[in-house]
Amino acid sequence: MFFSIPNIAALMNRYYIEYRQLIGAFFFGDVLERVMFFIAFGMGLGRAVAQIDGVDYITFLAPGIAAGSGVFIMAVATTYGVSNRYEGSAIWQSWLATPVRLQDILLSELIFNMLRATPSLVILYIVAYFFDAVPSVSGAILSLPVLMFANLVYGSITLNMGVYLGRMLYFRYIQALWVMPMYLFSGVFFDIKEAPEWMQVFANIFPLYHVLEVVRPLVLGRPVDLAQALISFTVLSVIFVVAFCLAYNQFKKRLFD
Amino acid sequence: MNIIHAENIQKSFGDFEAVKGVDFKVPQGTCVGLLGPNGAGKTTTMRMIMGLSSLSAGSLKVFDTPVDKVTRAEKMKIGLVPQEDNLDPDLSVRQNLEIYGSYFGLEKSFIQQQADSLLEFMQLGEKANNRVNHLSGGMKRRLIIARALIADPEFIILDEPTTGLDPQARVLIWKSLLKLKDQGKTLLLTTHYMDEAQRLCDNIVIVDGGKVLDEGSPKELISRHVKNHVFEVQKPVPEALQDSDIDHEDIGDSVLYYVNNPDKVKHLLPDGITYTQRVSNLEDVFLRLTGHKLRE
Ligand SMILES: Nc1ncnc2c1ncn2[C@@H]1O[C@H](COP(=O)(O)OP(=O)(O)O)[C@@H](O)[C@H]1O
Ligand SMILES: [Mg+2]
Repeated sequence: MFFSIPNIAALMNRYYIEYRQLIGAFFFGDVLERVMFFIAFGMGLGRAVAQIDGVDYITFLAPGIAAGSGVFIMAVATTYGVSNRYEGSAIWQSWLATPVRLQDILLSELIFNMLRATPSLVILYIVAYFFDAVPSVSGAILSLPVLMFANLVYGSITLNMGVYLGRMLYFRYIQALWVMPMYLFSGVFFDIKEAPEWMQVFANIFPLYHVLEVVRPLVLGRPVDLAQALISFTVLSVIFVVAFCLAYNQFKKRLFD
Repeated sequence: MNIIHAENIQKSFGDFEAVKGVDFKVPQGTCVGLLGPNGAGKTTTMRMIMGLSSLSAGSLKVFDTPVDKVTRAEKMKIGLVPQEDNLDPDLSVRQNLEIYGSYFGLEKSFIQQQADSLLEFMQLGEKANNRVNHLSGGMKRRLIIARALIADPEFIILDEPTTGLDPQARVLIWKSLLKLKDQGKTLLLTTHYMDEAQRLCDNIVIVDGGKVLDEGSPKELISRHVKNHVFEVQKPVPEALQDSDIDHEDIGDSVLYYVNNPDKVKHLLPDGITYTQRVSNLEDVFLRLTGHKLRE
């Protein structure tokens, strides 16, 4: 499976035009919800929880919200967004009648949505900074590429669910069985090391957990275990490649058979 | 040279065979019409040609290349007007052409030039900056045809380009398709309008139930199946006519008689019989071959 850079560039330009028109909707959808979570939990719950993992609760929470935000954005984009494009307006089919190929389309969907989710990460960090909740600014900046890659990984997984959305699967299932469990059990809101043992084991199946293992120390300005980071990166890369190929094959069957 | 050469192509969806072994050719520079009732397998066949649907069996060559090996350069030479309107809802009329052109990797200046001339060709200039969901059905169809022409293709596939349009819009589209033919383009067309097929197509392939029933030029098909004249005689049909060996078809309330020489029927019709007589056309061939029963 080879990708065509000119094809992907042409598609990215198309997405960018759509993005410019809908920038308000994207912005509010992506940013506001996350910021509200951050402020409500950080300020509200933060009062009750004095310290966690050696820092203020709101400081602990900031990288968690950042790492988790892409889970939602990518899940909606790769299910609703994608099914709109190949079942609703059927524009994928119009693209496939040109030299653009399925793999170019799938990768472009992931890259575009990853890019569009990135400003919301930056804004979240800026808000957190004003709440004095970003101990290491350089760590936060370094965490951005990690989170961008993580968003690609989340998207490649939910892309597999986009194939079935509308036909046999509802978004509620995706949300109940994948998005929410990952968000709640990966340690966004609490220190997973303090959680019951079964939960610590359970957390391992979620990419978000592995992402947080790298991102939280970065943003808190703590040393990152490089060996651990390398393992996380390898695992996430493998997940990405496998999920992408699976999604490609499923879409190929769905569209061409 | 044949732009398309299909031999025994088949397509199954699960247990259902939509295309059951179809053979046809599209010679360069001609317009071939694929005619058939709803569900005949026309769209499926066109999708297979575009590589949008895999073949279950058979051999399909596009520009002499097996369809699954078609190169980028060859793909650029094909323009598709799909049956369903799949314009990009987030783009303007002009953007629908220009952005589509970018998927072919064409030079920006070439695309802009093409977009300008196609907007004029399809009489969409005034709407260039409108969003596409504000267009009428006829304008959408014209824009989709313009879009299919953005890369200046040699071969254009049109799946029901005029279905649901008013007569003015149809005539406009016919004119533009005839212009394309004059430019030497090759066309493959499906339509439910037999006058359209008769006007535009050099060769016609009639399909039904996923099989080819017959093919030939409109003239050949007419003389082969319905002669030159058709008489529709209300029942009860006079005995002399019933006993004759004239080619005919019972369609319920009346019987159709096909003859080259109208006098042959006329002298068998006593006064007071209700009948109509006309020069036969492709519609008669179509109904004769595919039957008069309603589909889907
Ligand atoms: N993706 C599909 N899955 C199942 N059946 C299909 C699919 N596409 C087409 N068909 C069936 O195949 C037959 C031929 O369809 P189609 O090629 O669209 O016919 P036409 O264009 O001649 O009206 C129809 O009975 C249709 O319902
Ligand atoms: Mg059709």
